[in-house]
Order: sequence, then C-alpha cells, then structure tokens
Amino acid sequence: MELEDAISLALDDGVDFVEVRRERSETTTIRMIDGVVRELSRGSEFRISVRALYKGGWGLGVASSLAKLKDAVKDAVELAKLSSKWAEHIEPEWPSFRGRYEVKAQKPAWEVSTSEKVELIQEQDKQARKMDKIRNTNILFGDVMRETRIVNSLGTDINQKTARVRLAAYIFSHEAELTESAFESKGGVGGMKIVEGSNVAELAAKRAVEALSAKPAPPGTSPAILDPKLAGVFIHEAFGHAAEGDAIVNNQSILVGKMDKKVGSDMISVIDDPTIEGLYGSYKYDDEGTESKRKYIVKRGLLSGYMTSLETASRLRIEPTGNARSMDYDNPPIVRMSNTFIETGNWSFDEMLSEMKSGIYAFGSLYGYTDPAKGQFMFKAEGGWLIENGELKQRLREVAITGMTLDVLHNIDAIANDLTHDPGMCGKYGQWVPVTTGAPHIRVKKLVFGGR
Amino acid sequence: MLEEEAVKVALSEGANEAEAFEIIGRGISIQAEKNAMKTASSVRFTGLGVRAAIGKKLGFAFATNPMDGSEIGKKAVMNAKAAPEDLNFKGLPEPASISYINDLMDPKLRNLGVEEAASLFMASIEAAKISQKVKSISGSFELRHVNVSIYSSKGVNTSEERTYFSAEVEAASQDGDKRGSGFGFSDGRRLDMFDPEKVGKEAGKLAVKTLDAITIGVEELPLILKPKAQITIVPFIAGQAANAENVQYGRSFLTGKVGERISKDEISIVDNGRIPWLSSSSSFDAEGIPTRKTYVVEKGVFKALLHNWYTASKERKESTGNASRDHAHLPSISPHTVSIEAPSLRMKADELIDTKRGVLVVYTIDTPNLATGEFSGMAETSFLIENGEVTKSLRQTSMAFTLGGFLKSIYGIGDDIEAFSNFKGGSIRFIAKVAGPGVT
Repeated sequence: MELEDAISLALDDGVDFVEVRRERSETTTIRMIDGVVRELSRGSEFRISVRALYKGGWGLGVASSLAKLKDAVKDAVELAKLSSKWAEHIEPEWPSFRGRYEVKAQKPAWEVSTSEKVELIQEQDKQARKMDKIRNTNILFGDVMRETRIVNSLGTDINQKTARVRLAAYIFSHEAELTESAFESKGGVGGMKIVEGSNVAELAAKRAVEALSAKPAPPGTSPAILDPKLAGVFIHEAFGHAAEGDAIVNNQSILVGKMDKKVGSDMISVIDDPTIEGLYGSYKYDDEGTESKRKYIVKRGLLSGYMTSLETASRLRIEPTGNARSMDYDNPPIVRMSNTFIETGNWSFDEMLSEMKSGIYAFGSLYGYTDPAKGQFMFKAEGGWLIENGELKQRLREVAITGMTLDVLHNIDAIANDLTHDPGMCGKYGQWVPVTTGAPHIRVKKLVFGGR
Repeated sequence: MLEEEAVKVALSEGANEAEAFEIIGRGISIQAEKNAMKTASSVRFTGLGVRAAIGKKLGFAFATNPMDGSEIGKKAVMNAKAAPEDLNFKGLPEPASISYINDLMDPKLRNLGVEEAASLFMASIEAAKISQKVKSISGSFELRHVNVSIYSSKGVNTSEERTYFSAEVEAASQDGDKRGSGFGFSDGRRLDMFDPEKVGKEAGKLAVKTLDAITIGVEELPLILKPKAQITIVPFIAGQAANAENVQYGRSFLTGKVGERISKDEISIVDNGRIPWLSSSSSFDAEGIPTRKTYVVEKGVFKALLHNWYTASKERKESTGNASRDHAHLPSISPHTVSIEAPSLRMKADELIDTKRGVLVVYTIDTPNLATGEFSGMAETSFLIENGEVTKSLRQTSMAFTLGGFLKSIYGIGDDIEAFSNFKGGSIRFIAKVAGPGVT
C-alpha cells in the first residue's frame, strides 16, 4: 500500500482529515571518555505514522512497513472516532503545502568514514587533556540524517531530507578536594564542516579549571548581566513556551489575552525563525508539512505573535507558523520552538559591565524550565562572576535563577550587539526536539539568585 | 528469533563475542488538552540493539523494526572493527542465575483496550474540576506491555514480560488576574495502582491553592520535601553520585569516599530492584544480571557503588544489576527504586510541619551538581509554614543546600510514603537556605 492509498482508505472510513508521515533515519554516535572510545554506534529506524481527525478527536497509528500500513490506518481511524467522544470539534479548514527540500550539507556526515569521525573527537580530547587539573574528559559526536515524506488529505505533499551534526564536550577538573565541570557544544543542520575545527573541548576545559576557584553565589535579588547562552535559555523559558499556541488555546499561559499588549521594554524584540540556514533548530517544513517562517513573538516590547500548528492556528484564527514538530513517528506533532532569540541591540558587553557598580555576571546554561500557566520560570547558570565597580571580581558556582514571565522583560535595560546562537534539545510532553537558543549579552535590573 | 540471528551473524563476521538486546512492545497513549481528549495513539514496536566485540574493541548497532537481525549483527561487527581498543573492556556479561519476580506483568493492564483506557483517564481529568477556578486540564496516560529478551554468545538467554503505566494530570486555574497551576501523577506496573480520582483531585486542589501566592526573601529554615519533591534528589545520590562510572572517572563528589561517614548514623540509602509492581523493578537488568537490594549508604557510611558489568569488571567486583538501556543505546547505570531507611527518624507527616516557620516543597525537577554535590534549584510548587500550619502558596522561591548538609541535617522522615519513578519514601525535613524576591 502506498501513502496515497492510505489517505483514500481513511477518508472512505469517514474521517475529516488524515495525514501520513513516512520517516527513515540513520544515526551515528561516538562517545570518548578519557581518550578511550566507549561507544561507537550506528542505527537505523523506519516507520510510518498515520494521524486521523474525526469530529475533533485525533487518532495515531504506526506501521513498521508499507505492508502494515493498512493496520495503522485502521488503528488511526478507530482511535480518532474514539477520541471524538470526549473531543472539542474542529473543521480542518487548513492550508496545504507541496514541496521538496534537501539539506545543503558541506561534507555530509553520511559520506564521512567512522575513522575520520573518531579522529575528530580524539583531537577534541587532546585539546582538553593538555590542560592541568583536568580529571575527566567526555567527548560526544552525533549525526543524524532524517528523510520524511508527509502527505495529507488536503493535498499537502512534502519530501524533506535533513541532517544534523553535533559535537559536545563535558569536562571535569579537580584540585585538592574540589571537583568542577563545564559543558560546551556546537551543532547545526548540515555537514561535518559545522563541527570541524571547533574548540568545544578547549573551551569547556578552560571553564572547568577556572571554576575551581568559584564560590557559591550570594542568594537573593541582584542586578545581572547574562551571557548570550544564558540569555538565550532565559528567553526560551521565560517567554517562548508561554507563546506556544497550544498553551494559549488551552488557557494554560500567562500570555492569554495579552496580544499587542506591552510585555517588555521598547528595546526588546524576540524572534522564532526556523529558516536560518545551518542552525540546529532549522527546518524548511514542519512535521505537518507547513512551510516554516520567521516571526516576531515580541516586537519592541509588544506581544506580537504566537507559534502555531495547523490546529492551534485555526483555533486562534491566525496563519499557521510552521511550528508543529514531533520527536519521531510514535508521537504527534505539537507546537514547538525552533531557533528562538532576542534581536541584537546597541550596547557592548564592556559598556554594560563598566556601568554596573555591583551585581552578578551569569554565564553558560545547564538547563531551564517553565510553568507557563503560572508564568514562573527557572534557568540554571553554569557559573558567574561577582561584579564590583564595573569589574569581574570573584568567580561563582552553578546557580539557579528564577523569574516571572510578565515582570522580566520590563526589567531588561540593555541589549548588546553580540547575538550568538547555541544548540540544545528542548523537552515538552516527553518529546525532545533540536532547537537553538540565542541572544546577545543582556542586562537585567533584578533577578533572584538561589545561592547559598 | 531476531536476537539469535544477530548474534550468529556477528560471530560469523568475526566477533569473538556478541550480545543482542531485543524489546518487543505494544503501547497506548492518551493525551488530553483543555478538559477534552486530544489524541489516542496505538504503537507496536520491535527494537534490536547488538554489541559485538573483537578482542578489546567493541561495536554497537541498533534498528527499530528490523526485518531481520543479520544486518544489525554485521553493522555491530563493522563498528567493532573501526573502534580503537578499550583496555578496560573485559568481555561481555557472563550468564547468571536469575530468580524471577512474578509481580511485573499485570494481565489487566496488558489487555486493556483503548476505550477502557480513555474512560479511565478522562475520569481523572474530570476529577480535577474541583472548582470553577480550574479553567483548563491537560494530561497524558501511557500504557506499555513489553517483552525484553537478552541473548548472547556467552550463554545469557533470558526474557521477561513487563507492564507499565504512567498518568499525569495538569490543571491551570484563574481567578481574575491571579493564576495558579497544579499537577498529579502516578506510575507503576499494575493497573489498579492508578487511582484516577486521587490523581485528578490532587492536580485540581494544587491549582486552586496556588492562586494566592506570596514571595519571601532570603532565609535559612526547615524545608519539608514531599515525596514528589525528592524524585530528582534522593535517587540522584544512589544513581549519579554513587554511580560506579561517575566515581571511577572522578566526576562525582563522592569519589574516593567509600568507607567514609557521609550522613547521620541513623540513615541508610538503599537501591532495590525487586519491589513488587514498582515501575523500576525487574528480575534482571539490561545485561541479564539479576537485580538486588544494594545498601549504598549503611548506617551513615558510604558502602557501595551501583555497577553494570563494565564498571564491575574494572574493579573485579560483581555487577549490582543496575545496567539500563533501551535498544538504541549501550548499557549505562541507573538506580531502580531508591529509599532512605531511618527507622529512628520516622514520624507522622503532620509532625514534620510542626515548626514556627518553614517551607513545604511539593515539587521540584532540579537536580544536584554531580561534581560539587551542591543543589541550587526552584521550589516549583511550595507553601509557607507558619506556626505549624501550611498557610500561603509561594512563588519564585529557590532553595540551596549541599547533599552532605542534607544527609547530616535530616530531622525526620514522614509516614506519608509514596513511590514514583526511581523513588519510594515519605516527606523529609531538613535545614536549607531559600531565596525569593522579598517578602510580600
């Protein structure tokens, strides 16, 4: 059975909408610990997912081969009809898309030998271990090639081949009784050129050693400068999740009813843009086949847009933004960010620093999370510096920083001109997808630090 | 049999040893959004992961829904040929005698239809509507039935059926400009462990209680962690800090401390893989090694690490049966169910909040720092305690302590025992520093 036949079969069973997504992926993972390759793995996955909509209820069935597609259609249709008993009705009056996209990969990872990839991480390992006080090095290389075809009953037919590579270093330092660590990574959509010549291990090792002199951050409220990595996670957690269309439709976001309202100072604009070539969160078509687009979430302090899927866009009566993404074939596409970042400003980091009498410079991001319903978020800095009279005085350890979505953008009073993007993985409802978080250095009038 | 075929081909391609891990499963997922059912999914899958060794070179390959095992066996050998030697690799696991646990597979859960599953879960969503202020309820319900098999050229040949469910309900509340949220969750291997009404009501009640929130400043005071607030902290001590790989590589703050006193004398920390029906229980681990009860800390002294075969072989010790993996990854080390045993510190949960001023933490997802043992995170759902009463909800409150300080300042452990994920235990009271934006 071909994908088109599956569409016909489902429609014959009376569903309102059906979508078939065929996926094939090939992955390589190489992990080196203290100079020894501890994992050299290759994998391949293939599945076809069928998603059907009946009177507002969705059903998802998954087939392991074309031969079993008929069963997956049957599952999806039955499950959609079952879901409809408890669902909120919607008419699938959505746009359709047709197109083909193949990643422009400089030196595609799937054409590069395993031994060359091993050499790449060996070089990283050497960079880290040449420094004193390094106790343990962990270097990870991963590449994935994903081919999808998405067809639906509205006429969408998308073929997409994309590829991502990522190189990461997690380095531990040690001196006397103290152990510290630092993490650095580089990755993007494309080929090996993205990670070749990288110095992730050296950067992580340097920061891990530097952290040995760190003290716990002082607890409480403080003015702060956030480096681009941390500011990127900050905006992702503080604002991005709350602006996802499903949180808005479901009345689970503090941003409900705030469209075109003032949510921050005039200087701040926040963008989600999957179309930037080469970034880790980039794609041409989302997992519903919608063509992706650049959009402002916040424009000069005003809430300007939400990120949407086909359904959430229709429920919000706006255009779909191409933000429906799924981790894999077993999961339905849900609204996700892509490359989300704060637009560049006019300040320099040195200017920000020189003007700060006392505060904290927080840098590096370990992770963050948010509860969009309450508008409360947390993000964790890898480390920081105490600032006194415009100078970095004392290195600080890992620290949690908390804030409230509706307060925090009003507190940003300076944005630098050094926008950078950082690759990462974002989790939501158990689904993990590649994203980048991005920002220039930003200065915030007050944040709460959970130090000791 | 895919796994036998994969091992046979790996050996014929030049491997000295080979092992296949296969998981065959069926799953149902129900997702609800805004008080209504959103998506029902049905999944059937087969996953195969193969380790092949040539001397001290190890290769791994996997596939989801492979048509045959031979291709995966061949790829694993190709990867072994391309891998540099690992001098610490002392061979794949030897077979061991396994005492099988009966309480891992619930026929009711295995046979549950999607419609029955949906009705059960929607009852939980309905139960969260405890007030007009609860505006939106979402959640997910997952059911799995899997058969895990391990087969190797060393003679490992074992398999086991397991069932599993997890349910999560999130409620969002609103009263004018005030907003709150709450959640409830539950997991296990037996269907009747899921109480839809309890999980839903818990989410609804928390959502309403968190509407009126205040903030506090910086204080050092008694902190009471409810069981759900310990899921990322107590299992971390056994599963990460005492993880043999982390200790052997010097990543953990507990490196070099085996035999040292690290907590109050009354306290033991135990990992147990054999508690009936808990979600992390199994008869054998992901390498076919029998699970067991391991005292990581015994009466205050750091006693043992959690091992898989590789880390145990490195120290010429026995594996503790803590290897974990899915078909797409090599075995790592994970805890099963971690508990704190301290009979002399046991008290009624109500007695724990008998303090002039303290903070009750219902939930956090933050973890300590592996290298330093320091914790800095958010008390995501928390309440102020004043004169022995839980009073106001707190927002934007962070908490900080060291794990060493935590283990040495535990004042009491409540009798409100619950089990989720890798944790089983009651509320814990200890001293920590909290920080908020200031008193409101």
